[in-house]
Amino acid sequence: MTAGLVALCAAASLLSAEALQYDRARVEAGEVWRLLTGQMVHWTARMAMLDLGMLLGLGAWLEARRDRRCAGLALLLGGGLTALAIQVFSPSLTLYRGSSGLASALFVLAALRIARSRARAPRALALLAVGLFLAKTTMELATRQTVFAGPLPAGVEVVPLVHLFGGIGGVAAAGLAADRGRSPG
Amino acid sequence: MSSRNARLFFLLPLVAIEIGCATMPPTHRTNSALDFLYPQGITAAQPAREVVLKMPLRVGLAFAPNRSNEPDPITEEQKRKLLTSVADAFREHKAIGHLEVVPTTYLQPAGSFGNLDQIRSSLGFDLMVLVSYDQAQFTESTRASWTYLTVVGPLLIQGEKNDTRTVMDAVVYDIASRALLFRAAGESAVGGRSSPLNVERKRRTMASAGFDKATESLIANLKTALAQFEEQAKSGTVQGPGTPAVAMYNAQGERITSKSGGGALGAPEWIAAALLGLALLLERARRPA
Repeated sequence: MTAGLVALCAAASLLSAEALQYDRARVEAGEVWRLLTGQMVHWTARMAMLDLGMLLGLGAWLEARRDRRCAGLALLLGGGLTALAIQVFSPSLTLYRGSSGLASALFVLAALRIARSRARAPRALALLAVGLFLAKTTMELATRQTVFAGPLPAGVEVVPLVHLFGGIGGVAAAGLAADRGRSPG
Repeated sequence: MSSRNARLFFLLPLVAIEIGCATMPPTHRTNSALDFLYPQGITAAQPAREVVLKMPLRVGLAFAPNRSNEPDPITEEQKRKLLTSVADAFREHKAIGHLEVVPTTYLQPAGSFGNLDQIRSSLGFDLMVLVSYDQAQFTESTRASWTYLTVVGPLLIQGEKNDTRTVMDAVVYDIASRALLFRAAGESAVGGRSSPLNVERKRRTMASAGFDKATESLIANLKTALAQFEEQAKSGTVQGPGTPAVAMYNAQGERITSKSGGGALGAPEWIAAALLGLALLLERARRPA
């Protein structure tokens, strides 16, 4: 599933990014698919490699431990919440590209899965990883300055809110999966 | 009276009507917003300053006054109706807080920006939309006009072909900075026939219809021009490099700019992912073989 999604994103990158990127004016004119296809294309090849690389690695691990359904749920929730972050909570944003919202959802889900370990060290490392992710995102939101974002084209800024909302999607997926595990039958 | 004289007595007036109709001169009436704003000529104009637009904006609309005080082809009431239809098309726009039609009497011929400053002080407008027009009317006789030689011809036969061409132009100025923000035009062509006896009335009707149709075209083109200006202004200039700088602020006082975003993971996220990888390795190492 994740490999298929990453392959789709890679193929989308070969097409015209302008036709798939999030464009506020076009979305408001009716091209609502851009809320999702905008998360499949990227501004640079480096950005695509980093985002899709994490997406592929985390997704492959979750699927290997038979967590495909939960991973799929995280991707759905992460993608939906990312679209909400862009359209509703970032009104000054006119264009958007990037799959880090999806990757953030899988990252948080994977960390919460590892944090269920009985061993203390893996649990602590997983929580440290989530804490680091959360701290960085919160700091970027509060100071409106990005940290170690990597080179992006002139005029393009990282949107930390996307990482936060994507992470919330991962938390929600983990919570829903836990509820299903606890419910009788 | 001899029969020859009697024929002349009846034919001469008809011939006179025929000649008169065939030689009805075209009319051409114009007014000019640039004439009103730059009565000394546009080369004498001072350069525009930086534009600051604070939403929501207060906008006035008016026809530019005639410098030569020539009569307009439409009445003041008709002008007000046309401008009201333009105003109604933009009243709901999110950037506009108030839109008002200003009577032409508020504008003095060659009043220039001093006149606009007076209007700004009294009515509080940020922007002024000035509308100019150029209307030409032509009348020519058709082949049916030979019937004018008969008694009933001029009464029943509409042998005059009338054409009315109208162009309306709207320029939008920021009063404080005296910068032209954008402009748009609308045009129409109205045709019809008349008899020599009602040609004047027909021309007046066509003049009015010409303005109505040109206004519809103007509204559509103004919407396009406004959308293009909004996009252009986000990049910081009115019409691109070399034109006045523009800063737009929303109702909360925040600067409105065009912003592109990227969902990009960086080194911290990859470090966090590496921590997860380490946690996995530790977990596997602790599992019994």
